[in-house]
Amino acid sequence: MGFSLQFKLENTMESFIFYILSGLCIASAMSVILFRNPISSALALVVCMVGIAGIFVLLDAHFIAMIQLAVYAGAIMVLVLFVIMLLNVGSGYEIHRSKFVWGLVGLVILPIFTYLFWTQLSGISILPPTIKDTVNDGTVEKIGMLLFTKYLFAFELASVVILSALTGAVLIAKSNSKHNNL
Amino acid sequence: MNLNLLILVSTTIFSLGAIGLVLRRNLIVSLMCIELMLNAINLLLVSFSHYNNNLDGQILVIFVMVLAACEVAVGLALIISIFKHFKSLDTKEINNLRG
Repeated sequence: MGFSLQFKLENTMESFIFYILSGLCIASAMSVILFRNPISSALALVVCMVGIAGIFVLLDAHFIAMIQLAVYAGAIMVLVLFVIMLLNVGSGYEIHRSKFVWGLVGLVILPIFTYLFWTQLSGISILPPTIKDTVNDGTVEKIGMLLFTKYLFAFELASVVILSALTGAVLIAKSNSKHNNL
Repeated sequence: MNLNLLILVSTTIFSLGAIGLVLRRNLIVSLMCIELMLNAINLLLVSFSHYNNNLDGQILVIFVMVLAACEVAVGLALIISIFKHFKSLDTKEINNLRG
């Protein structure tokens, strides 16, 4: 059986913080779909995003962690909370009755999926021997150098996508007047 | 903190997002579950980028975040328009296209 739980319990502070952060992420992701009030699930999603930003810091991706905090936990979640409070939706706990069985099937499928993925990865060594002498952490300088040389066209294209999404969002949210019914 | 553990955490968060997208009937919670799945993919990209000594994955994470912001803006505008039209956000009641 090629399945071996390789929990090498490294008693370092780094892995301790990683266990705490990943447990926080999974618990808050569960409470996103279990809370019956949409405001509570939005706040649980904020906790999950902050935990993922902490894992990004542990993976030496400092710029991505900062962007995650500013964009996701800041802007997007404020927008979602604003819309929830604007629409004043009720706190009913609606679950698809017919699809609840399918959710349980998904819960059964999840360990199998993880098991397959895990054995596949432990058999084949995707990783190179990871010589960490070249320190390759995601600082602002390295990300910026890569973003403005190799990925310059995609960067400009992303700005066009943002502009069109902005105008489209304003148009969709405004176009519910008397003569234009949706 | 090996790679298998990171893949396990990311797969779990992605599956929780997918299950919530199937189960919940509130449209805003469905949108938040999509955000959860995008976050799991970001975590997977950054962990592979760290263990392969390659910064291209983190650039891809930035573009995923750009598209997530656009998706949230357009999706919330659609939700406001749907709520004005149907006076509800329950996906069981929005079934005009049902045959």
